[in-house]
Amino acid sequence: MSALRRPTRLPFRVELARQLSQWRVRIALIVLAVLPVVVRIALLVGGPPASSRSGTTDLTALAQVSGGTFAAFVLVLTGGFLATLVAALLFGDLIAGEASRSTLKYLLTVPVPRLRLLAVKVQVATVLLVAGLLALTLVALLVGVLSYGAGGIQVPGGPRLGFGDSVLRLLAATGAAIVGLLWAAALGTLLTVVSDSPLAAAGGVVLASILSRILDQIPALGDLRVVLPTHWSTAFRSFLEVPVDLAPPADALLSGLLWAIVLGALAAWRFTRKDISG
Amino acid sequence: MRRGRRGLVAVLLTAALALGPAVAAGAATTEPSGAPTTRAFSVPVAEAPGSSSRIRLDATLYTPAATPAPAVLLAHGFGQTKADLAPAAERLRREGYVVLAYTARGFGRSGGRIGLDSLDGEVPDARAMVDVLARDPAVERRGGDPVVGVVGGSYGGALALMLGATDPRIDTVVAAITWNDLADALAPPSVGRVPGGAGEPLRDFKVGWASRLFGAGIAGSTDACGRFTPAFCDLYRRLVTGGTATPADLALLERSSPEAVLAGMRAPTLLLQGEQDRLFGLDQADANARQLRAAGAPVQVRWFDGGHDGGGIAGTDGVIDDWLRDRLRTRAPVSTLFSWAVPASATAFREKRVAPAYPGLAGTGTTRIPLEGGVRTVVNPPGGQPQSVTGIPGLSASTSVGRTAGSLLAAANPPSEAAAFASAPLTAPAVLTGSARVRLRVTPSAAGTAVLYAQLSARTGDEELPLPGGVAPIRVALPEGGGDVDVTLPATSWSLAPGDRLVLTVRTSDSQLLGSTAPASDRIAVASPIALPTVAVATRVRSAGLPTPGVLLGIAAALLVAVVLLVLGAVLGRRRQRPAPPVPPVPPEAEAEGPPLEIAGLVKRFRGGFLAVDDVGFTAQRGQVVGLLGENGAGKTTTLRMVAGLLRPDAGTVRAFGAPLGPGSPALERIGCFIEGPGFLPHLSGRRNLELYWAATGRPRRDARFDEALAVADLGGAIRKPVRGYSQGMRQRLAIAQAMLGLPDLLILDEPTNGLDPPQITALRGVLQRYAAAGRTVVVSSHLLGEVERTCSHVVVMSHGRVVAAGPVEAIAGEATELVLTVTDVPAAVAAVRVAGVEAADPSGTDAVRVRPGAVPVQDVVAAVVAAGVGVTGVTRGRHLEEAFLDLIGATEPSA
Repeated sequence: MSALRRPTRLPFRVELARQLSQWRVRIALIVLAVLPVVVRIALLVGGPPASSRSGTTDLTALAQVSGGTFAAFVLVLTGGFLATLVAALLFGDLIAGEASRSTLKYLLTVPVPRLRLLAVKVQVATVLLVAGLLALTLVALLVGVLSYGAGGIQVPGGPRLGFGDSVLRLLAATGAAIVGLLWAAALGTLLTVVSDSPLAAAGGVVLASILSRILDQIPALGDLRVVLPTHWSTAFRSFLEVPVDLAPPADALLSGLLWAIVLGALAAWRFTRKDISG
Repeated sequence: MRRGRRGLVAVLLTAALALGPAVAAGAATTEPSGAPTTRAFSVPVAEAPGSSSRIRLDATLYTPAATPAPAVLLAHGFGQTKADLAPAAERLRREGYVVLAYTARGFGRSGGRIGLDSLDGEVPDARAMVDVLARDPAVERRGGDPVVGVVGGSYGGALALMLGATDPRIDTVVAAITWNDLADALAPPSVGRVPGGAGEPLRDFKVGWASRLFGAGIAGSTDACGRFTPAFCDLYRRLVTGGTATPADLALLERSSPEAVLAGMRAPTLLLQGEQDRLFGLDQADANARQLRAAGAPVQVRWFDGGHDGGGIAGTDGVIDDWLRDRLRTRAPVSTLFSWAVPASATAFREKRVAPAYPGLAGTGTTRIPLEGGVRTVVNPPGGQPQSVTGIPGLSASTSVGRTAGSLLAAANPPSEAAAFASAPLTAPAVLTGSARVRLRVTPSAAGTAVLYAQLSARTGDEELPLPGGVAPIRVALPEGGGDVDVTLPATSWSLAPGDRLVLTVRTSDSQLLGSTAPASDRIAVASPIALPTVAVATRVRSAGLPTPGVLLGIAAALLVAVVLLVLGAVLGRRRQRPAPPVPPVPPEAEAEGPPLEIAGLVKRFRGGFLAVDDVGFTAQRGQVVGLLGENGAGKTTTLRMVAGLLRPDAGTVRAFGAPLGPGSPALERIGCFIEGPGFLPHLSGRRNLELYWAATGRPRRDARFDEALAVADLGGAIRKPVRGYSQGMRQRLAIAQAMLGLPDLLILDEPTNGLDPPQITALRGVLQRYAAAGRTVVVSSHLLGEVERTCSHVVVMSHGRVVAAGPVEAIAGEATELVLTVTDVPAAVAAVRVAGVEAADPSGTDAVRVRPGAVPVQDVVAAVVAAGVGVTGVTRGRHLEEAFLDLIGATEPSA
């Protein structure tokens, strides 16, 4: 009797296949993977690095010192806003994307239980985001090594790190950058549940990010700024500095977890009792 | 970022403090002494020892709620007044001390002239302040003496030491960033000595800091000497214009130095000295410590990462409070532990280290590091300008702005005036603690006095960071041909990592020191490895670079909450998913389970208050094709959405096969749905869409019966093309096929004929009837009466959210035998059929007759009319559902 063993609704691989079949998802991932190449070409167009005096302040010149430094440079360029944008696109699409194509109701009548649907979709989006940022780092490292040699990260105003150490630090920084996107992922999940338009959900995340960054620039707010979700968005750079200060990434992790729990729980609660129309 | 988290703590603390006074006030009602008080007054003191003229000193007494209490006398820094002490005074009062803060003579509203903590002025003043405390009943007494501690930083620190050494009533002294010998501090003796050379070392003059202090002393005054005593004014003028200090000058400075009196100290003393201090270096604290130890006073030395060049005494509050508590309250024995900060370097965080005892500036061990650089020539241009900038008094090295400005200024230093001797990259880490020593070989261009400045820095990568502690002046008389010079560099602490290079820079000028205006050209070589003192460590505390326990705890708690929520979500989800009733083979033999669809009392009110579905109930049985008929907006789709679990009903129940139906119910597996239009991934083919849909059910592929479903869709080759290019009808058919995947026991189709052409509608009709004939059930909604009439076996008529009729189509639409005859003569035709014996016959309009034939066969009715000579132009059989429907709707139409 097949009914005694309930089948797994919407298996992970099926949802992954559904998402990967979409061009908007593919493009977001391709942009991340190709970005290092674009940066490399931009540096080529800009000409060879100007011979800098000691105490290099020109970051683009510094970026061309070694492969590891190039990868770190690309990661610092991307880690803030572009990564937030990609997270917004991926997570803003979860439910609202299905609703806008009228496929949501058919998934729900399969029946895929609502929490299961949300959980699988969050898992898939997370895997895609992690894969995209990992691809970014690895491609950047590859492009950097091919262009500037297998040297470690040159810390601005500090020592040159070993290559192996640099690779580990780049991976750690990528991980920390992903942790820094927890809030964006959770907000995207909430907005995609609330809104029926994927653009509105993704735009909401981007808007929140910009707003939070603006407020973070106002010193008058003082220490109240610690509650801003983007306040720790540069914490991942700790791993690219000497010595590694683990405090900011830990703060970022705590902040991200709190935001993710609050917004994620709200999204799940809302989705289980939402009326699906359209 | 770290500031941010500390900030959060600060916000919380502020909140706690805001509540604090309320709590304290509540507790204070039981205290006999009442609320804390603050009282400002002036204290008359003799202008000079033995003088009868009086000056008045401005003072404020802070008394805590609970008295008697130990007292703390606060002395301020140079250029400050008692107002600058208010925060510290209030903090100490909260700790429960009586606090006396006063403005020293020559500053603020106090009278008199500045004597630089002279034994003939400021020190007797401080004793007068102790008299004030001794008279105050709020001050705790022990053995007839008041319990008094004295705390001061910089200018106040020296005063605290000199008061403690000259007034036996003082129980403890805290002296921060201060001097031992003012002459050595302001006019530093050469740190370079010719080996074996005798005699007094030559002195330089700290023109940078001295002029800044002098400026602070004359601020706000029209007099060029400001409020300085004439003797100090003269001294400053003489030194700053390049003169050398005379024995009389040195004697004057001696009267302002703790060095003169420390032999008399008995009170336990805490010496806090900053590592970022080019005014009063670690050597001054070292001299104090040696004297105090010799005098037998218990002494503790701490070096912290601060000082006149970087943050002042910020961050020492906790240490001071602990010290005062242990001395004034518990009288604990003084620990000999030596604790010092190792400042942050390019590769290491700031670190606090603790050694069992204070080792002095020579450390407990030595690391020797060879320096390279050969023989270098440095020049001093005539006039000594431009000078090398190694720092600016007041430009704090503890801020990033200060550090940046410092490195920018240093970048402009003239290279010909400096010689750098660098080590090879270090192979082992070393923490320099104390004064490094090195022997130089200096060959001046002409016999005479060589004036040089030595500084240590650490080079990491391409970044060179000067070590804190500043620049050591070297002023030695050398014979023609030059000679060796032993140099003791300023004491400091620094962490050198493997790979770092240690760099000794020797310059001919320094903007902070007077230097020489004579042109010179000196050849310099390093004659020995540099000896770095190190100190064996008892414990190390690395506070920076690690998350605080609070944050780690927070992360753990957040993860725990997340896990709990996830488990809770999984459990709730599972509970909602009660085990599915066993699926019997189709058609079912056993009739044990309930009807395929059973709806009762269903109500749905939308957010705007619109009642879309009101008490709807009906049942669909096996083998039935149930038509849900109603005008647009009758509530058909809303009802079906509630059946499918997309909407939450406000009231009522839906059961399928006996099991309650809701969002995500397992019973939905046996229901195929097509509700309000198709929904597909437009970029995928029709076939891929169906495959992915079926994959989402998680059921085996063979259960899907793709071929049967695709036959219904009848898309031909288009099934392999992207859905994006499909017509409305094609999508509609694909969606119906999707609903039929797996041949569900109950098929729910909402307006399936929309967009289909007549042949397709006819085909669909056949499909649905055959589907139900196999023992399954079809529920189809439509606003097309003809469709329902022709397709369905049963009909549920809805209007304005309510069921107005339900039952077999015939029961609703009336007998199929009713006839409408279009005739040439209506009255004749009516008469004729009545004669033929029909049940009823009525004229219908001007050219038709409605006939209920009863038992009379139709052909006989027509024959009777024809026989009566009436022409029959048309015969229509059966009553139309449309009419019944319009009747039913009309009955529920809200009447005005």
